[in-house]
Amino acid sequence: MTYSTQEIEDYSLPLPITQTADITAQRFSLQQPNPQKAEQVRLNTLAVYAVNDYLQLMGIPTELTAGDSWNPVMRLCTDVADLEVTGKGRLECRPLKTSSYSCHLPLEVQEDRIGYVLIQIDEAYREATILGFTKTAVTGELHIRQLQPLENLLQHLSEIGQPVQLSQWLQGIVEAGWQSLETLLRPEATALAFNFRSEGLGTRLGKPIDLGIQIAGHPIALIVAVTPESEQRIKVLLQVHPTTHPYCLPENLQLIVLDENGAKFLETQARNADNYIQLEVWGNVGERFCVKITLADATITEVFVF
Amino acid sequence: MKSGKLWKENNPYYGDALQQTWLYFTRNICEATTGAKYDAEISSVTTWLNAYLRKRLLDFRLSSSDEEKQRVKPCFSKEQGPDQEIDPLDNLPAPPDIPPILEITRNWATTDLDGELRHVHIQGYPKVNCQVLILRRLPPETPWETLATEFGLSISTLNNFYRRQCMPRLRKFGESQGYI
Repeated sequence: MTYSTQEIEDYSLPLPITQTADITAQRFSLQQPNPQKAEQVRLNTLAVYAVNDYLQLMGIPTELTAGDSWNPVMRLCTDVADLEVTGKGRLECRPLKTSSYSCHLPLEVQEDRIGYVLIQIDEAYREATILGFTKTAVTGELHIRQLQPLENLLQHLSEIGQPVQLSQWLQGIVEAGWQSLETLLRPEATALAFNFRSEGLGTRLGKPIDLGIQIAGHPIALIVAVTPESEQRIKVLLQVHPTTHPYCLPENLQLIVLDENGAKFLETQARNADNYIQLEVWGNVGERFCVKITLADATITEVFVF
Repeated sequence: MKSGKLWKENNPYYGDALQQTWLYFTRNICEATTGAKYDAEISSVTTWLNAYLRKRLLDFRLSSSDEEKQRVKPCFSKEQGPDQEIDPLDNLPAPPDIPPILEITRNWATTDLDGELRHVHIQGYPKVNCQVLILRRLPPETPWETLATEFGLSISTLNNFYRRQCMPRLRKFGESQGYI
């Protein structure tokens, strides 16, 4: 759900700009070589603090100093306002000046984020107002019209789990929410999809994926087949299947694998009337990767560890 | 029951005291976590919060006046006499005019001690390497559009390379500099 600009005031949350935030923002901005950059860093820091304060109020642990916005070189070289939410990933906290309705999202922050929060900084009133958030940023602009109410952020954060430990699957330890293929797919799909030689050695599980309204009438599931290649090396086959009649995927549905740094590593896309799409990745135990399933501006992200 | 507004003061630490008050509110409105649970029989929510807020403001006031006392403690020198007070803050070096972090980063990228930054480049474009992109994106940064035209590559190719190859190296270098 998104809301109109008139409703923003009802949903947004004003928080005080603390002296702690002010002093840090000043300190960071003084390190910058020109006034524009200094202003950018100062506002970014205030925005990160506001979201940090909010999450603290909600009892959600964060690591304020762990992000790029606290790294002096990253702060200098990129326009970044990230906040690490413990065990979840990074939120981008973009500042908005009073009387603006949208902000620019630099290319460097358009990937590797679990969400984008927009914060209006009103220095005259010493207030930072959290306007709302979006899960994904599809364009280089973030307009307040695209925002979801702040409560949805809490819901979103609660849905992002710890990374799925695939090597543990092979020991029979499986995270909640993963089901056997028989409960998710029709028998033909199961047979058709996983006809590979090393069957028996590996573990195959699936999970229903909710892409919201974008996919109404096209429920889908992510299927993951894990096969040990050696002591340290694991093969992972990822598939996306439709789970109800007419058993075809929505056109343009994308399956994307991101590497540890959040860079795109592999991708595939459903054509008209595809039964399923798949990607295959290999990795060493302990390596991290991220799977995104995207349709239009809706995305589901799942983090895995080999 | 009386309803009212939160206590307001105009001082630099008001925001911090208010944030602590909201934290107290979220922790104790429904169940006692960090203090006594809110009791509607005793007071209105506003009165309850104002009592806490004013205590925190007092804490800040006291600790800032302590700092003040310590800070302006004058240093007397026997030769100069008591009327020539020296504020220790005057002896600290003034912040340099040019922020050093830009120079430190530029030097690191230009020197490129082990040659790694020069060697990692976009496939088929040896001139578009980490060193070049890092230097060109230092503030005042060259827009991606300009770089794309200049190198004959798409913005997304350049940016993917920057994200994948340059940013992790910048991050690591930043970490080695300590979080200042």
